[in-house]
Amino acid sequence: MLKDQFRLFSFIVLSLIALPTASVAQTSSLGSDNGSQRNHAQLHNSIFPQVKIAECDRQGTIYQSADMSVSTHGGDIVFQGLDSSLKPWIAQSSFNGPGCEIFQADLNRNGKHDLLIVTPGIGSRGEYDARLTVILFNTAGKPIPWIATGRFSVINGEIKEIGISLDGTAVIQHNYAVGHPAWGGVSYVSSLYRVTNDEIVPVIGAFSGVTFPRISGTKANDTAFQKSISAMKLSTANAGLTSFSITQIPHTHFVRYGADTAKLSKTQSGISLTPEQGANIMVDAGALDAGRERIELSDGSKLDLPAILVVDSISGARKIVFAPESADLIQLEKGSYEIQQAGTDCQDVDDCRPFILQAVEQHP
Amino acid sequence: MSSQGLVQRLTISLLLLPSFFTGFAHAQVNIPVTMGSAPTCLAQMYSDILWPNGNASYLVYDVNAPTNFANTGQGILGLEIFFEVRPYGYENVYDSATYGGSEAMASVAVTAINRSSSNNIDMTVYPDDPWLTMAAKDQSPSIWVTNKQGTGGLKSTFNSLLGSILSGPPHTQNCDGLMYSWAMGIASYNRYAVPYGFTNVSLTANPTNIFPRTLFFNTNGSTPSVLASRKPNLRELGLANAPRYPSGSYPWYFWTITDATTFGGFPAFLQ
Repeated sequence: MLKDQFRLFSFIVLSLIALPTASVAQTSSLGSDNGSQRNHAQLHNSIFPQVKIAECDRQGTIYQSADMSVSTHGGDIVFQGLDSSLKPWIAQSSFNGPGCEIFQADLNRNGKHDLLIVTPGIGSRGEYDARLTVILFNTAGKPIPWIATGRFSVINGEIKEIGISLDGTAVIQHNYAVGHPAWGGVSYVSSLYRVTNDEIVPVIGAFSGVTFPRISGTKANDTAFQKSISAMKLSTANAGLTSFSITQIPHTHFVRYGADTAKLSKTQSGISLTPEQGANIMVDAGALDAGRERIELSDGSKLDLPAILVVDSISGARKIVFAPESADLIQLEKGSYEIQQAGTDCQDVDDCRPFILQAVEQHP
Repeated sequence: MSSQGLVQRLTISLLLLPSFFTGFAHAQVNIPVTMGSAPTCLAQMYSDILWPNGNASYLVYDVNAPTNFANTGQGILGLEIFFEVRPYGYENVYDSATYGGSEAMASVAVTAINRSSSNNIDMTVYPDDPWLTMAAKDQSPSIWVTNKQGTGGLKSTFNSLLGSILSGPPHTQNCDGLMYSWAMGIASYNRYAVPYGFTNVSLTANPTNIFPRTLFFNTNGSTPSVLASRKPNLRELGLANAPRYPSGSYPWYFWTITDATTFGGFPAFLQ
């Protein structure tokens, strides 16, 4: 047990010290911080065991096993297989970056091989725009999706941000950057996620002597920023695990807000302005967000497109779409679905969206 | 947006709405125009950018003009330059290291152009339209909403910033910087970015000049994120300093990768 504790502690400490040197001077954690940091461990011993199975280096089938296949089509990658009840599942993602690397690991120690996909980013944020996609399989063989963008590094054939918890299951270190150097500066956040049989959930507060999430950089001591960071929860909790009561509410539909916003009447009239009028034109703040896609649900709430869409059909099949676009929601027009949100993905302090939007098909 | 970080359990029944998601185009960057009571930066946009000969007495009021321009290759490139680097009103000295802001701005513009003309910096082969704007957005996912169609707009933070700057007074540092960025977007596009006619852009030319070969940039100096097998092919090109608002400066770091190739299959970069 002591050895396990030491390995976990080492993983956390070494992951934390990987944050930018310039930001170390200012570091804060949310919640009480009763831990300390040491730096005298071997990183190699604390990485969760993983096996690399494929790269996105060619088109067509890139991996095939008895219960699963992986194929690429252009910049898209498709995973598909059968769960323990022989119900089909499919997961669609993309590798819009320079390729990808695919690993297998039994993150929740249930005998099922989970999938981890690392995609280097093509954005200009240094090492902080890589993407880690996880497809976790529970004991029923149902896939549970998770995704995060941040600093994920492959060293010696393993993703070093995947560590081992005291019970032998995996923990995921999510280090990411928030903000912009030209607009208020950049802050760095370090979060920790635990993997259970059915869920990947954030660790809030102390864990093995370190408090999460931790913030460093320009806004480390900004309470408003700290509060906004606490809203970021890449949690799969309740995604596909609970049966919930159904209350059909009619007249609910998806809409794209503002896309059809009528232009100002002045446009149609095509009038010319005097120089004085032309000097006083300004932006109509009320219409500024026109064209932004959102979803309106039966209770009137409006959601941005989620990071992940999960669609469970009556037949028992599950479809997962990472980074769905509006076209991926068209199928939901053709039936009756119960919708729930799990987790919140905040790409900036005031720019949050659902992490997972799960649609469970209902009998008509 | 109403996401609160809590699980929301919602029950819905969807109506059939044929062609609801298709059949219309929407602006990626929307600049809706209305009347104000004081001179604004938006009026400066009309006189400086939309009407480069700038005589307000001939200004035809077209409320769509700012939005239409903002969604052109030149407009997107200008916004990309501005929000990435945020210069504030330096004179138009394009390729001079004297002006750190201009150097960093030029690298951002040329990086988008280089990426859109290379076929293995990423796995995306950019279509004819909007080839450059997609590359510009993909390289700055913290600023733009990125999607496969390249139709993403500015993220909400920057969308609000754009609105507040344009609605604010003219000739402020931010307004002048925005206009300068758009002017540089126009110049960069017209000079380098005739679609697939890169006769003026030699990715192998001027090897001592960092701009033609830049494919990655960032401000934290960390190595660009590429597959482990490609890391040995990364080459650091150098750095420039951009002015920091309201004072000081901050560095920009530039890289290339030697295994990138142009669309013709030729090596893009000197070893």
